[in-house]
Amino acid sequence: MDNVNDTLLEAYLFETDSLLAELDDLLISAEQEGTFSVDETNQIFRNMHTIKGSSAMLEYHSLMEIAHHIEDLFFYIRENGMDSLSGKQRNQLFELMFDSMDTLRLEYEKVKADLPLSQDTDGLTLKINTFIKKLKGEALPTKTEVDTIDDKHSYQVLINFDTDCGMENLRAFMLVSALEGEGLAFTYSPKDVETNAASSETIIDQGFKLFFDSESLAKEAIETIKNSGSIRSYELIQPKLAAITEDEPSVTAEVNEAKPEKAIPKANIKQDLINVSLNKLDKLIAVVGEIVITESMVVAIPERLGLKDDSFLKSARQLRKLTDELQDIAMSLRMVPVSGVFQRMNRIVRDMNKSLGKNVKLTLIGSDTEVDKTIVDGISDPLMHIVRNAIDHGIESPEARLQAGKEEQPEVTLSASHTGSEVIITVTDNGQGMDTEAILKKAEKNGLLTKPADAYSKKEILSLLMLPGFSTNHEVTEYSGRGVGLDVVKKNVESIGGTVIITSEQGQGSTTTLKIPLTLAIVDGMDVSVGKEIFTLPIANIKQSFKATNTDVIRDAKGQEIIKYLNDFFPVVRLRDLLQLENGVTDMEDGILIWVESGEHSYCLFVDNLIGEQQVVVKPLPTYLNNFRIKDYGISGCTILGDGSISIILDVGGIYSAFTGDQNTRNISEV
Amino acid sequence: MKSYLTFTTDNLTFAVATDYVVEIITNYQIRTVPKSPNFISGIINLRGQIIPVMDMRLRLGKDFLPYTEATCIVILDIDNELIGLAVDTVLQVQDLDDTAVSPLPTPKSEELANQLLTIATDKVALILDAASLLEVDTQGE
Repeated sequence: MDNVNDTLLEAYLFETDSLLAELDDLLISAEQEGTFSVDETNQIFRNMHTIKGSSAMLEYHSLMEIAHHIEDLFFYIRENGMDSLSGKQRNQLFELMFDSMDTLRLEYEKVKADLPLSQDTDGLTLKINTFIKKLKGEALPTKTEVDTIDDKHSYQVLINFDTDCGMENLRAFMLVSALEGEGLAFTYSPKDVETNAASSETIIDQGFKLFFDSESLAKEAIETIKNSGSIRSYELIQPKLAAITEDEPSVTAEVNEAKPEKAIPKANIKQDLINVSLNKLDKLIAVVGEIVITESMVVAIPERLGLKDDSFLKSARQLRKLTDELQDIAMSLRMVPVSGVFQRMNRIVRDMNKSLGKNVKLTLIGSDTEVDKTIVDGISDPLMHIVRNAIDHGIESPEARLQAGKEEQPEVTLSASHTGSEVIITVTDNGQGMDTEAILKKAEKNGLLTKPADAYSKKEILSLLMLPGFSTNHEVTEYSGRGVGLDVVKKNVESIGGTVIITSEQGQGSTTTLKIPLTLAIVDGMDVSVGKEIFTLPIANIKQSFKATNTDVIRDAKGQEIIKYLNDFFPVVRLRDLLQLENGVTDMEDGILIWVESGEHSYCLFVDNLIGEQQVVVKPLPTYLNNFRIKDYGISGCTILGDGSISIILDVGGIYSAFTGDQNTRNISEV
Repeated sequence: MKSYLTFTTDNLTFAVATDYVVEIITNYQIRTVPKSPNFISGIINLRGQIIPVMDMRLRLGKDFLPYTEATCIVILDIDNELIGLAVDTVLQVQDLDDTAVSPLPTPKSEELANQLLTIATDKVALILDAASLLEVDTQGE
C-alpha cells in the first residue's frame, strides 16, 4: 500500500511541479504583455483545476484551497475577458497571482520535504475572494455560485457508498475525478465534496448524485462507477423521475465544458514523452557501466593468452563501437536542459526589479544546454543566489549609473555552454564591479586574511568573497547580505564536483563562472598505486605530476613537508600516512608527486606510482560503510578496473580537508 | 521446521536462517577500505556489485586468522543490504526444528547470537541474529 502511495505522490509531485513551472513562465510573459490572452486564461484555469483535483485526492488542503480560489478568479476572467479590468485592477491581478504562485510553491516544497502544510490559507484566499468581489462589484460570496446545481443534465445517477466507509465526500470526489478523466461531461451534487467534509453527511443521507446530458453518457459513467470501490449501490434515474433541481444552470455547465478540453492537449504531448523514475535510469546506467567494463575484460583475454585472430579483433571493434554508443545513449537519458532553472531566474529578476527599482534586463543564452539531472538540481540554489547578488550588489542604483555615465540598460546575462567534459555557466552583470580595496579591508576586519594584505593578488582577493562569513554590503537587504552567501554557493557547487570563479572589472561589472562536470557517473580517472593498492584520482583535478628529490622538500615549523614547484609552494600530502596504509614508499625519490587542485586548494599528493589513465564508472560505496565516515577522508566511491579488481576513487577536496583536519587535531594534542 | 546454514568461526558453531543467505563464495579478492573499522575486511566485486565484507572473528572481538582456501564468504541479504561475512568454514544446510530454540542461559553474553539450537545429537549452534550484524556500535568507535 505504501508503495502505491509513493508512486502516487511521485506522480503528484512531478505533475504539480511542471504545472507550477508552466504557470511561472506564463505569468512572466503575460505581465510583460500586461494582459492574459484567452489561451493563457484557459491554461491557468486548467492547471489550477488539475492541481486542485490532485491535491484534494491526496488531501493537501492548503494547495487545494488556493488552487480552487484561483480557479474561481480565472473563471470570472474567462467569462468577462481581461478587457473588463481596469489598468489598476490588472496590476493587482498580477500581484495577486505572483503571491499565490509563491504560496503554492511554498506548500509544494513542504509536501516534497514531507513537512506539515499550512493549516491556514485564509489570508490569501480571502484576498482572492475580495478581489473577485471587487471585480464583480458586488458583495456576493463566490461559493454560492459554484454550489448551484444544473437541471439541464437530467439523467441522474444516484450513488450510495458503503455504510461506514468514511470520508464519503472524498470518495465522491475521487469518483468525480475518475469520471472527468474519462472525458465525461456532468455535474454533481453536493457540489462542495472536495472542500467540505460536512458534505459527507448529505451523501450518507441522500446519496451522491451525478447529472448527465444523455443516457449514453450516464451509462458510460456507470461502467466506471461499477469498478470503483466502496460503492454500495448505484441507480440510473430517467429524466421523468429525476429530481427537479433549482437555480441558474449556466455556471456549472461552463465549468464542465473546460474538462474535455483539458484532456486533448495532454494526450498529444504524452505520445512521445514518458516519465521514467530516476531510480530505473540509474539502474540502467549501472548495467551499461558493467557492460563497458566486461567488454574491455573480454576483449583483453586473447591478447593476454597471446592469441591473434583477425575475425575476433573485428568483432571486438564492432562491440566496442556498440557499447560506446549504448553508453552515450544511456547517459543522454539523464540529461535535461538547463532552461528550467534559467526560467526561474526570470521571476527573481522581476521581483527584485519591482522592489529595488533597478529595471534590470535578464538575458538567457544557451538555455537548451543539457546537463545531468542531479546537476540541474544542484545548481538551482547557487544560481539563484548569484543572480540575486548580481542585482543587489552588482548593479548600481539608477542614480549611481547616471552619475557614472552608464547609459545602457542594466543587464544580467546568464549563459550555459559545454566544453568537452564540463558545462560552464556564467552570470555576468554590467554593474559596478567588485571593489577589491573594500573586500580586502572587510576581510581584514573579519580576520579572514592569512598573509599580509599587500601580498594578495586580485584573484585571491576575489576568492575571499567565498569564505564563510563574508558579505560586502554594509546593510542586510531583503535579498542578500545576510553573511551567508557565496560560501554556501561554493559549497553547493563543490558538492556536485564543480568550481566557482569570480572575475571582475571595477566600473564594468563582474562575472561568476561555475564549472561543473557534465555527468557524475563516469569520470576520466588517473590510477595511482600506493603499496599494492590502487586509487583513482579524477583527471579534472590533476594539474601535473613530477618527481622530486629529498632536497626539494622544505619543512615548516610544525614539521609539515612543503615543496617548491614552478615558483610556488605546496603542502605535500602523503597518501600512505593520511589513510594509514600498510605499504608504500616513504622515500621522496622513490615515489611521485601529483599536483592537484580542488577549488582554491592546491597541494601535492605523494604516491608510489602512476599507473595510467582511463574512464571509470563511479560506483557509490556500500551504504553500510557510510556509517564509518570514510568519506571524510576523501574516499568518495569506487570503481571496477579492467581485471575485475576494485579501485577506490579519491575526492581531492576531501583529502585536503582530512589533511588539514588531521593537522589541527595533531596541533591540539601537542598543546 | 526451518532451514539453517551452519558455519564455524573460532570453534563456535553458528546457524543463520537461509532466508538471509544469498550465496557462498570462496577465494575472493578483497579490496581493503582505508579508515574503516578493523572488522571490515574490505569490499569485493561480486559480478559488478560492490559488497562490504565483514570478518566474523574480528566482529566477535576474536583474533584475526589469515584467510585460507577454506575461508568462506557468506553473502547475506539483510533488509535489502548485501554484506559478506567471512567465516572459517561452512558446514551444511539443514532443516531444524525452530520450536526447539532456547535462549542463552548467560544473559548478554553475546550480542550477535543469543539463542541456542540443537543441530545434532551432541551438537548445538548459536543462532546468528543477522540484523544485529549491521548495527553500528558508535561507542565502540
